Amino acid sequence: MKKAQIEIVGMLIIVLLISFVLLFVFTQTLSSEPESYEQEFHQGIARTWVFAMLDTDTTCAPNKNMQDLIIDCAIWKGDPNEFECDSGVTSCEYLENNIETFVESTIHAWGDNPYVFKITDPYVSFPSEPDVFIEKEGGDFSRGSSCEVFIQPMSVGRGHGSLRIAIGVGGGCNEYDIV
Amino acid sequence: MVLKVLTVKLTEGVVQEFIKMLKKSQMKMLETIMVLMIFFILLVFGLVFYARFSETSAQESHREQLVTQAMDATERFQYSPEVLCSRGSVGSDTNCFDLLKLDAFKDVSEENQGQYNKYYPNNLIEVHIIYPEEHQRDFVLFNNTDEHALNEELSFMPAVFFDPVEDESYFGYLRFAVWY
Repeated sequence: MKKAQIEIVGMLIIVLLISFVLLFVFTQTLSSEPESYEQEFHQGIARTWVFAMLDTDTTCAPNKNMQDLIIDCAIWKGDPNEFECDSGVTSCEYLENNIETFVESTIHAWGDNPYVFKITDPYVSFPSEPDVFIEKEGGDFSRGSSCEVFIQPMSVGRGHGSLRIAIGVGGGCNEYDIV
Repeated sequence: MVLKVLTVKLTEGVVQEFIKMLKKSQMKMLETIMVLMIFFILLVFGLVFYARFSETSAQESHREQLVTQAMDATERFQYSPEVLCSRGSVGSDTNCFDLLKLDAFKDVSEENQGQYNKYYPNNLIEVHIIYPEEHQRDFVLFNNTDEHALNEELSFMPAVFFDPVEDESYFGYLRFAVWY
């Protein structure tokens, strides 16, 4: 082998070594999966949060739970027939004032999770924008890009259609319409 | 005289040639040393990076394992018949816990710590009732943690706490911590 050839082989070995190192770095960087357990956690809490919230008895009036107030608000919002709590506030006002406590002290408090919560009637003016009864959001949406959504459809009663109670947990929730 | 001059010139030539040779071999040696240095620098960089990466991924997988353990405890507790509500309805009692049963569970699990430790290893389970305000209450339900443990991984579960005496359901959550 000539001297020049030997030098080229040396160069090749160095280039190969650098390539291997770079390849290793890139594969490790690209193959780092999103934190699946966190997504699983968000999915789980979104679902259980909605069920627990609906089942909670309120201080609005005896034997009135959150589900009753949501249904009343959906049917009678702004109407004189809207249910009035013992304190004098209407069902919609009561929800507006209290829903935040439910989310802020749980989902948001656990690791500063950003969230979007909505109660809508998707069919009231279909196919235009759905009627939004309650809408709350909070947290730092720059944290992460995922959004785990749980939507619970709810029948309001004969002739009154249905509702959608939706909660999205994760930084990506402000970027897409969760309902 | 001529011989002397010739000898001197010859010697000078040999010395110069020798110096030239020395320079050339020094250059070659320098080149080899440089190549070896670059090779070892790359090797060291590679090893350092690999070691750091392995350490980070080991820590991450350990953390993931602990979070999974906390989530497993959450799931196990969610389906424990000794604490679930029994309000007479079928299928609607998901995530509903009876407060009287929870109080009983606290005593029973303390008395039978060994039995429950295998289901909730290194777990600290807390109950937090947050709504309505007048019924706010926090208490430790189960404690199986090592006093020397310094860190915790958490899992939470939103829940309804049913008070059978008042016949009311309160909103709150269960906090599951795995200590290590």
